[in-house]
Amino acid sequence: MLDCRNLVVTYESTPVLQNLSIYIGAGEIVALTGPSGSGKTTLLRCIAGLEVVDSGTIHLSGEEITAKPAHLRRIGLVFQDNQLFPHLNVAENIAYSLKIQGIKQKLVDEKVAEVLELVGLTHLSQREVIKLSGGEAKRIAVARALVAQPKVLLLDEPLSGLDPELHTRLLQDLGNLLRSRGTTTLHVTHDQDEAKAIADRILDINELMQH
Amino acid sequence: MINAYRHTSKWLVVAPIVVMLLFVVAPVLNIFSMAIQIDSFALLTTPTTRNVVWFTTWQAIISTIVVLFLAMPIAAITANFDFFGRRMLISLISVPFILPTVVVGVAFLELLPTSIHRSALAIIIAHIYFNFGLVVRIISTRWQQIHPHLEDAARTLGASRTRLFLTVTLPLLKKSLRSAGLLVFLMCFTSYGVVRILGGPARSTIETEIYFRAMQLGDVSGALVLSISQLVVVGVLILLTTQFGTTNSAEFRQTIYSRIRRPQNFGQKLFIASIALISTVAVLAPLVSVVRRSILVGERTNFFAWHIIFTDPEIFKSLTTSLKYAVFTIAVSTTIGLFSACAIIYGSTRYRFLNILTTLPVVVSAVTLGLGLIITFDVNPIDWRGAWLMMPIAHCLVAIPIVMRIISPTIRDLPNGLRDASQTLGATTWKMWRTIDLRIIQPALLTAAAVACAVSLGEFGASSFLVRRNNETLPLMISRLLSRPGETIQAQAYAIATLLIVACVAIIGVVDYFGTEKHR
Amino acid sequence: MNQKKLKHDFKNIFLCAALLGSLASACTNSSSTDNSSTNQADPTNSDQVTLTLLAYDSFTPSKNIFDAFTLETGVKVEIALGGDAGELVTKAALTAGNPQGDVLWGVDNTMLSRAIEAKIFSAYQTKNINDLDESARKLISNFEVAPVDTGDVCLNYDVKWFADREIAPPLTLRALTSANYANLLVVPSPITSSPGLAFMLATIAEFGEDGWSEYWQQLKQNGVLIVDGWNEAYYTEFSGSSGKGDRPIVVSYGSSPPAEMIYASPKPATAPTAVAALTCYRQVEFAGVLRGTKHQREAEMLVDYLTSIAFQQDLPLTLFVYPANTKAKLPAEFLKYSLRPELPLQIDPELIAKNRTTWLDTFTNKVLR
Repeated sequence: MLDCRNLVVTYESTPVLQNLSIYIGAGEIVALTGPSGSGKTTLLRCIAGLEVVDSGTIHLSGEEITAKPAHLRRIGLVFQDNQLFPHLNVAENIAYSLKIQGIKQKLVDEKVAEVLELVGLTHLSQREVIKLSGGEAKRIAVARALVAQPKVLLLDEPLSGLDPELHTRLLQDLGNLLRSRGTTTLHVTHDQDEAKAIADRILDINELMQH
Repeated sequence: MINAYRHTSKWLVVAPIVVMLLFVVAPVLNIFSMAIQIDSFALLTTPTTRNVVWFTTWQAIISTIVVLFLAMPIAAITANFDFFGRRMLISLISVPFILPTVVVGVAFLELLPTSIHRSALAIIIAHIYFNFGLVVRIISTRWQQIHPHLEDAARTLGASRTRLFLTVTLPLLKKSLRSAGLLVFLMCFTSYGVVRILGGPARSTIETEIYFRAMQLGDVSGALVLSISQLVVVGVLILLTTQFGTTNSAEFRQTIYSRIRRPQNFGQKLFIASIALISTVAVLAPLVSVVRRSILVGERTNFFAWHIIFTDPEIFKSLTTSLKYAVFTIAVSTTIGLFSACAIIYGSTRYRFLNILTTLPVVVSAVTLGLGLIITFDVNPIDWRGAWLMMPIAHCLVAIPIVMRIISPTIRDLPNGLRDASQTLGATTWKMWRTIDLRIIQPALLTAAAVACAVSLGEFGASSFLVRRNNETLPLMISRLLSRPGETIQAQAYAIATLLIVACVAIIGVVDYFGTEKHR
Repeated sequence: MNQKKLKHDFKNIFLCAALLGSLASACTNSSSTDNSSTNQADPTNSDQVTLTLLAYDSFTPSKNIFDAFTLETGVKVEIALGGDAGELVTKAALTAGNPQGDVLWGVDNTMLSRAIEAKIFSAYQTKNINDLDESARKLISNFEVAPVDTGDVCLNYDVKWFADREIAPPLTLRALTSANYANLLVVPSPITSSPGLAFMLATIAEFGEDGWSEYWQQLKQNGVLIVDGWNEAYYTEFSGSSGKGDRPIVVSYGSSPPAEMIYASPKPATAPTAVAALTCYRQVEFAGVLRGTKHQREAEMLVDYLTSIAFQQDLPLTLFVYPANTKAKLPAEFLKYSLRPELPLQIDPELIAKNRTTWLDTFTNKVLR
């Protein structure tokens, strides 16, 4: 499904990714762990097309996408700080990718309602995003990524900064959601327990690099 | 990191560069190369010039200091307290800043006792009137960003209210005080209209002296020498303001907490009420005196002047001309301003020079630019000297730097993550710009358009220079009517001034109620 | 990558071009609607010439005065106002050889040498030359310009004010320094106003190059008020006109009293203001064909018209000046109330040209500040 081979990224002569390779099968949920500053976020951004790799290749479903612009890759990314659009409300945030594709308003409304229900936040559909709590915002961010039907979903520390109770509940919900939809997922976290709870497979970023 | 807009910014710089090179750089270089003579530099050492430079500087310094002092209490109440009419007060004190100089000039002629006419005091009072709303806004915005806990902490450490203000609040406000101060100094230093109208023949700033030299003495070369010296001073100051401007916005992003409370006790209420009342009266008094003159002929009230300004074909024509130019200015200056702001922020750092380039029309004195335009656009196919187009173009040149300064911070502060998110959700570069950048800067864009409109409606210096047959704008019409005898004719001038006041109030209304940075 | 980038660039060029294009078309659209009011190519009437007459802002002849000219010659005339007299000459000097109009009205004798030095005009001897005031004609050597009107800048005083107080009005410049007239005089600044400049020149003519600045010191001690322009001096500060001013002596024109009478309603029995004849400085205004005009022949015809009896007779009651054409008839009421001094003060234009800046600098430093 997603196959990255020998990725190299260097920032101003500091190596960030050194010859990194990773493979994720269809429908698999893979957790990627490693200390902060180890390049996890950079890897996600490379896969999503937000960063350029110095060398190496990225394949998705057999097609090489290394040089493909981000908006054509159909790879979803849930940012650590969500990056919800402040000028749009909850429903409009979720509808964003559908609108971009030029889907009819009626169909958009249906899909938005569907995914809001999935994350259990139907009642917030008209809320301003700056008024959401941390947990709510995270669910909306996931919903917004999922509605675009990405081939792969990348989660960047999705549960950091939440209180323990919420963390547990959200982790459970997220796991169920991804599994029920069979979404291929790369879940980045520095928390081993979190990784164990959600993933089929756990990888350490340092072990993926060949020195 | 991939900057999705970088390629585009390469093309965006084209339009502003072309406009500035064509309408500012070329004319100015042209007039310099044609008219300047080396011996004119001796002018800089004459007592006349020394006097002028000295007066220009000290009146600007005094105006600035007084403005900063007067602005403090109003900034204090608007930044700390929630009270009835708070937003209205903030809007109201902003009106003078966008009023046409001609209007403020005649308003103060009407309001001030004749013994103060033609004095430095009159100039300083008008300068204060013009600028204090701007200063209040700058300081109040920054003040609201100071976290109340900081002050609470200081108080638990035993600081009295006064000490708290002096040791915590004031230092935190220092930067905004400095940038506001520099801005005001700049406005007062280059002031022209107010000085001409209120200063009388004895008071001359560098800007008015440039005019006298070139026009009355026919010493264009000397005028250019003066304008070079002004350009140097103002250029340095502008660079400083730009620098302070950037550090400010980078350090303090939007805040979610609010330090605004209802007043706690009677003392606070009294303080707020008196400050609000005094500033309201101060803003309104000159305006009311203008309105009064428009309906007062002899000792009796009548609306004859109002009837005339809407029926006299000449005056009505100038009304439509003003509106037409305002629309042109809005369209062109927001477009060019947006292009250059985007180019500077999205593009590589080497486009920063656009910041300086687009500021040129403000830095170069209007006379220099005006003379340059006259001698530059004099060969076919661009013999535009007689064309109506030159005046609205001049309006745009004045508006563009202001538009840029309004739009730039919003674009700069827009988190890149939003653009990343948009891309991963399938938006192309163009769609991303339209759905994210454009939508978020929309309020700022609206503000910029409104201010551009005000600039065009009120522009006098360059306009009086480029005016041709049949294209007088309202400020020019005011000044022409004022120079003719007869109370009814004078009343017409005041009626037009009233119209412009109404327009400015409406513009501030639009800015404050639709252009606020609240996102929805 | 590169191909993609290229594609990107094309799109961007296209976007920019589209934006600029729409801007440009917006401009041309609105300019075409405005064409009627400019003198450029009127395609339906391509052989008709429209001349641009550059003049100072206060040039206000009768509205249809040029109709007769158009009827006779087929040439239209448009007036372009170019600021005050000083601005007018500065702009014309900068654009000498490629002028902004075809004919210029309003260079006066204080600026004449500056204009001639800058080669603003192309010489033309008008066919009316022999009818024009001889003393004015003497000021020009090579027919660069033609004199079009003359006037006198004199002290005016409020007749009633002096009568009420039984004080004799001042009759000479010297008198103004007497304590009787302390704080009574208002003058427009010579820096910003042409009657102001004329008055300063009058004092130079009267007291000499050595004595005039001393005289002004005394005026200053005697409380002279110096204001920006003539309008402000006459209409705001002077007590004898429509303004509410409190100064009964003002620098104005020899023709101001008839203006007060003719435009007053109801008409007073006697003139409210009068002129001190010995304080007058003669101003002469000129018009000429601008060098580089594309319509030399038509422009010359216009100069002929400007100096013709028909046009000249319009001047007294519209601009309140004396026609330069001696054959022009003066309206009776104008003659009755205006004063024409026999021996006005005057200074040679050459001398003015040489010293103008120095004198004004002296004035600025010694009197104004």
